[in-house]
Amino acid sequence: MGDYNYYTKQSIEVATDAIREESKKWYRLSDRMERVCQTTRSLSLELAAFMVVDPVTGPIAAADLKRTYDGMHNKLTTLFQQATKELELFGDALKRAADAYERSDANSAVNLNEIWKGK
Amino acid sequence: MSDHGIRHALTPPPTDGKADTEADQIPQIIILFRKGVDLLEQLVEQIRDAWNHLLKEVTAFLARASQEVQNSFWARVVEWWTDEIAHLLDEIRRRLEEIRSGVDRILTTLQQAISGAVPVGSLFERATVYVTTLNRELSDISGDMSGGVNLVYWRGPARDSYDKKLQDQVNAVLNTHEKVRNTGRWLAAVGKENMTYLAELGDRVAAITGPFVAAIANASQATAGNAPQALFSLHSLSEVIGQAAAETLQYAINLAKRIASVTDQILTLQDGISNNAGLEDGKWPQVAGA
Repeated sequence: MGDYNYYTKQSIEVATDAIREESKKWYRLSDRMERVCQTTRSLSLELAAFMVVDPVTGPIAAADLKRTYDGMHNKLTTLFQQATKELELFGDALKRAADAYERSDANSAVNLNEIWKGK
Repeated sequence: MSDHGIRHALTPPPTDGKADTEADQIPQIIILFRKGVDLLEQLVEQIRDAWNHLLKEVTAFLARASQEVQNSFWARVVEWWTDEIAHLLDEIRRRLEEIRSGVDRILTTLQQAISGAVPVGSLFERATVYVTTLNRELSDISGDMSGGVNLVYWRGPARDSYDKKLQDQVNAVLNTHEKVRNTGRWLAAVGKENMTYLAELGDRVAAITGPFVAAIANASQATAGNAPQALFSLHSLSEVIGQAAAETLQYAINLAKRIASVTDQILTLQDGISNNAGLEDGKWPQVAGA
């Protein structure tokens, strides 16, 4: 296995195709994460959802519950929003990686900064 | 309705704390919750009917007793007898008002629980989405993140860097997946406490139907001569109703306390919010990051 040359034209072609496929996969993952984000965003709860009792006896405990839930709900919505963007950027980065890989050969250094940061 | 019948019928399934049980349990809890609301609606009808029936019988009895007193030989010759009956009838009217007040409080509590159940239903719906839709989707997403077979031909520092960044993304999904599962579990626990309240309330109120029936029977058969018996029956009913009204209020307070005391679950969720394992300073790991 150690003798296998990963930098032949053929190997690079296969690898480049695989990276481009991988890129598409991350775009699809980003789309799915966006749906997760939208679903999560729709899960807000009103104060009255936490207790069936009337507001005279219920507000203190219910308010604590709502505050805790809102904290988690906001956190998840924010994270999924960030995730949607990052997964898409992952797809972009892999496209750049495929381009860079096509340009490279066994002796050339790949510019990681260019791949991940797009610079 | 038998004692503890409602509570027994609405006993939620036991939780063993495993993450994969909520998806199975919540639909069952929702069915029981709706059943609890239906039972409370039936109780409202039963109590209202019983009250109307009692009112009708006692009113008829009072009219009958007054008529008897007017027509009675004893009333004409022995004044104390008339005074005694009049006193009893006044006492019966007072008891009837006490019962009316208690019934009003109980019906108000039941109706508030029924109206309050509508928004709480949305809590169950949210819990279901967390433990089914989101749980499944995040599980699938983290599983689908691993690289394709042909990536084996990609070698070098960019590939090494990719593997690390991919793992960062997987770890972040795992973090949110755990948060989602805990949130669904927590919401289900809050929902269960509400259902327990409905069951307690239903059981307590169902217990007053028996004394109601007895008081109605006594009032329908009572005459001026046995007014003390009718009064005794109403007195007993009044006490039962008064106690039930006080206890239903206490149940509402208990629910607030119980939910507030689900401290460990609130803390678990709060810990979950600040659990940043797999994240970068609480944020989703950036592709352009180091």
